[in-house]
Amino acid sequence: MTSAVADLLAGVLAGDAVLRGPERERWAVAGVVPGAVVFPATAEDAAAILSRASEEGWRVVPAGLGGWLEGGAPTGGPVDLVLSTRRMDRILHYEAADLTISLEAGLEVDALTSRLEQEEQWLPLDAPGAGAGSVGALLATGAAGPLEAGFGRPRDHVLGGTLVTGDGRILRLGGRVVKNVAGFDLVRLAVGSGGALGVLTEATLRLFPRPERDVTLRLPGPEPGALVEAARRVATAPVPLAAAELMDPAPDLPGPDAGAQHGAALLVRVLGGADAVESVVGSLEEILEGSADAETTRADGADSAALHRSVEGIEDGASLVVRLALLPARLEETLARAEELVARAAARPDPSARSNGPRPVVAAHVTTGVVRVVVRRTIDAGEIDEWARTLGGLRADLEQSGGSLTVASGPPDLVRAVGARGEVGRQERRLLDGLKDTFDPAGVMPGIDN
Amino acid sequence: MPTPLPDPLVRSLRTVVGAEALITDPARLLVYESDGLTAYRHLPRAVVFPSDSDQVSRVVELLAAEDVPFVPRGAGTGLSGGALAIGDTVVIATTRMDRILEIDPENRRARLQPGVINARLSAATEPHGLYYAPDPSSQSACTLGGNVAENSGGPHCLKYGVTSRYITGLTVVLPTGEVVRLGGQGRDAAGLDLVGLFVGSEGCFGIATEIEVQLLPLPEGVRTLLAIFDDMEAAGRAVTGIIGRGLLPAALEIIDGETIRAVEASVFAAGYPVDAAAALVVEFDGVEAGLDAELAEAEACCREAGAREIRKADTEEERSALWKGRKKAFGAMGRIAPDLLVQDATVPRTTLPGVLRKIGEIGRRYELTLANVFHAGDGNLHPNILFDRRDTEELARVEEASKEIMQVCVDAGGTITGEHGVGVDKRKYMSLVHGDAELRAMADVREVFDPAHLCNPGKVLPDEIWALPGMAAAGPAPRAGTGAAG
Repeated sequence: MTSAVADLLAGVLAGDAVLRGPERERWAVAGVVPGAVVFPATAEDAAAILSRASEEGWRVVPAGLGGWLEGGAPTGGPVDLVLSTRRMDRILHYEAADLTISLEAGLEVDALTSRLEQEEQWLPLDAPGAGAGSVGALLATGAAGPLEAGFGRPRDHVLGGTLVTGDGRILRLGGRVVKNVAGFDLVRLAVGSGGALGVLTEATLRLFPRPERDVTLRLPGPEPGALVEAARRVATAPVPLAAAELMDPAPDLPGPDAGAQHGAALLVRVLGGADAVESVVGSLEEILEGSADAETTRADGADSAALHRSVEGIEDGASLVVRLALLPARLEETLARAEELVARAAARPDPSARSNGPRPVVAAHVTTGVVRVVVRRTIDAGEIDEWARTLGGLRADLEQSGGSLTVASGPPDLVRAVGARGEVGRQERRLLDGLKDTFDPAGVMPGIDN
Repeated sequence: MPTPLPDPLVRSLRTVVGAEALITDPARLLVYESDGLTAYRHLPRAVVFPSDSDQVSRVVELLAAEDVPFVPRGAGTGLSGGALAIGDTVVIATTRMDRILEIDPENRRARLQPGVINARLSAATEPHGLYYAPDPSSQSACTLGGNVAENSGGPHCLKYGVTSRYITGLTVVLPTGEVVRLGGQGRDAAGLDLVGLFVGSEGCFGIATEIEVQLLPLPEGVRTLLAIFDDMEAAGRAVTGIIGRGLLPAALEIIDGETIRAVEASVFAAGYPVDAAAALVVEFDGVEAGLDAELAEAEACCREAGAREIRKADTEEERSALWKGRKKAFGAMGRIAPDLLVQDATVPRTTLPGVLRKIGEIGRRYELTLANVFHAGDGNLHPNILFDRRDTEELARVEEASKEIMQVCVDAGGTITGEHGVGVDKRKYMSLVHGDAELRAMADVREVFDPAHLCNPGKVLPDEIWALPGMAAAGPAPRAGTGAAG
């Protein structure tokens, strides 16, 4: 972007709404500092910017608060503009009795949570790192956390939204009501589109009453494989679960024993009315007792919530996050493949070069069969090829069994070499390209597969 | 009368599906001229019954090669004219594709063909302790393929969500005949949600020939009550009270006095008091422990709101009895008048009392009989108008009243259809809730799937959209809808 063009931008927005100096570095996308960062205050401003971007052929990356959930969009080239929704952070309409809320996309998720708490309501979405990010980012990535087991994914909770397309059209999609089939479901398309279609500036979300009781059961084990049987029995038990995660290492329960618990554990969370929760917990304790040698411990209320907040934080500062997926009944196989990645992380080109750093975290969503591997030590440039080979091989292997491997975030060179997602069939590719073209004909937004 | 298909095409189709799976005789085609929206009739050019995905693909390929438009049809129970053969169309019926391909309890999923009847699916999974949650009122007749097309709801979607929540994968025959597999439970669900986009696309994007669904464990217990009210607003207050206390019932259904009287005068008589203004069915399901407490709280809300009578179910039989009036409501209306205009709007729940008042006022002003049935929990209303179509003067009042009712719902922050879909019937209201930009975007998306405008033409989008500047289609000119609703 030339400075003449950046001047143009500054003409569209108020002075402090454009960053052109060194402060831009904070907004680097996968290491690439953008030509400018803009903070539109309204959907109309965002539309004017994107309209211009399409005319000029800029490359634009949307952002909320700059936390780059899912690693942001790895690019092969320069980023002309980061468009942040940070200034659009108001709650527009909160009708607690309707269990719906309309808000601007730049609102911080934690701030939303606090506001909802005042009405004893909540939004049961706990994607990794989402709390400190914007609602828009959460919806754009469509990422889910452990609560998916009990409550579904972000796209199940969005009733409507405003999407500013890559070519600067403002589309007000969906509505404010929980049942709405007036036309094609473009809301579902926009959520999880990763910014490929445009920028979400507003959303209407469906809410839930805060559960009366929150209990997590923790069953430790020497390693994940030893807990698979227990996990499968929990997953197929006829009881409502809020979350079931098999982790290694697993966070400790708060309390006097904290720090003494090491290694892997199965964490099962139950939310609901007091009587119902106690009944389910009782059933689960029986199941877990029969499945493993160790003792199950229990966390209640704030302790249970704190435990899950730490689960939410496991991707903070990660250098590489990979998601492996097969059907949930094949959890053991998926974990075995995750072990290959853990082994790769342990095999360093020069073991003496530096300290080992924290070991990777393996976290399996038991009910969906998705296993995350979070690598926390730095990955050197010299290792990229080896990693690419390992990941490519694992992906081919999983895809052959009907599964998938997704690189949620990682070193840009590695993500480029492997591809964030696997290839899709020719017809699906045509549909994806056609949809992309519909909303972003000039191709200013990140690609669909990022 | 639609033009008959050319003989060579008929022969080719017969080769693919077998002679007995193709109807071209006009007398036999009559059955397929309507769906659940019986006011509209369009005779198809032919009806073909493929038995699997491969046959669907080859049939579509043959039709596409001759530029013959087609419309998929499940059980024909739809209430928006989605399966109407508008504009010289061939119906591709999925009724022969009625096999459940796989029930996979370990992964809580099932794979099935689109012609499987909704209730039959849950019946088949029940022995495994699982069920398929979305239960539209027509579930004993409607098919999963139709449910996917309409993103169907039903009384239990307040707690459990609508169809799109439960569809994890689809095999789709595109309007070119090409086959594409979307989603699939073993694949990580991130990225563009093509499955979610296809659900609710009303048969305009292609034909789903295999559907993968998520199943839920059967709830441990269920508790149901029926509350009788002397005025509708009191029933509304009870609903607000129940939700306000943080309860999430599995179902919250209301029928009004007019509906109660229709039911009680019919063979479906359920023992509801005919002088009541409203009957509210409240149901909780889930873990057994705690259900009694929830029901007690709901009962308290009903009494606080002024319920004059509460009935509770202790057995499955009693539960069926409590539901009977609600479930047979539509069937009973046929007694009162030859024609029924079934409306389907959704409004924010808190606006229900005011909206109902206005609807009642509209009914009185137009001197029409209205019978209200609604899913109070999610604000989805069916203010049904009973009339006789042969009385053209009354018909005109019905249409005017219907427009006003729709405007009231939209003005309250609602939408024009909560579960029946747009089809033909509600195209005229699309501009109440969508601007040109949104409608164009929908048209563009439709064209990504169906550039030649062969797949279920004349549905969902108003014809005028195709005439907007910049909307020139790549393929042949769009086929204008010729339905009565325009």
